[in-house]
Amino acid sequence: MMKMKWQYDRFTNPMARARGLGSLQRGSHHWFMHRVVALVSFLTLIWGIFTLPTFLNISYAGFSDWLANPVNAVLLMLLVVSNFYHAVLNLTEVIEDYVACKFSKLTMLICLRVGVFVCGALAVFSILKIAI
Amino acid sequence: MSADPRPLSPHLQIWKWSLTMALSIFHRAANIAVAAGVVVLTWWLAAAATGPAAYDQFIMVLSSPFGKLILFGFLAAVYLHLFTGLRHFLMDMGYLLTIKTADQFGAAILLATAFFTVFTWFFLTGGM
Repeated sequence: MMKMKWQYDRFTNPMARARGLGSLQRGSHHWFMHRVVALVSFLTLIWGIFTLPTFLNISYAGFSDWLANPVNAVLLMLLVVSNFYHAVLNLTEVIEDYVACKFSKLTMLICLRVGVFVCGALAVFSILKIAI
Repeated sequence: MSADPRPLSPHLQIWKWSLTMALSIFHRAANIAVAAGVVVLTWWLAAAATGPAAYDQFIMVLSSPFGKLILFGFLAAVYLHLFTGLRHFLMDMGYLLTIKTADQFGAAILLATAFFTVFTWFFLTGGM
């Protein structure tokens, strides 16, 4: 598999790189992707904060008209996918930090993923249903 | 299955609170608060996809005083998490690691959070 240079070099400890060890050699990639997702989440959420709640004051028709615009629908789906995925990564960290019992930890991590992915699927389907 | 009997880290109460410690804790608390927004956003979109009646019901709940309180808290948590997340990133990269710069940036974060939350709230509601 082709690797980009930054995937291995930018954030890896030099000794770990020399030995080819460390977090199954993917630890820095996970860290880096967490930040990339954070950046996309940030940009889309700021866009969302300043556009979405306007619809709290207007009708259903206004909201569906707005979502009928493909640009808005795609950006909203990007907001959902990016922020939901970021939420999974963050809450995973919280659970891993505080839940000591391995069985509860695994159960909570699985429930978190299933829960957020169900919400994500429902949200994306809803956007598409209104947009198309 | 019983929990691992290893010792826990010292309890919060025994530490003298500092700004850096508080922001670290707020970052995680805000994280959990913002994550709850996943459910609200999904509810909103699903309600809109269901039809006008479900949509109006959602808007009614969210425009109630309790709904507004939730929205305001969500907004504050988003901005706090955003700025403390930036702080997290900068510290990961090796910046802001002296006591002075960490405290100064921490104070700036609290001010920026208050400002942006109130600004956004007034922008959205026109001062309600």
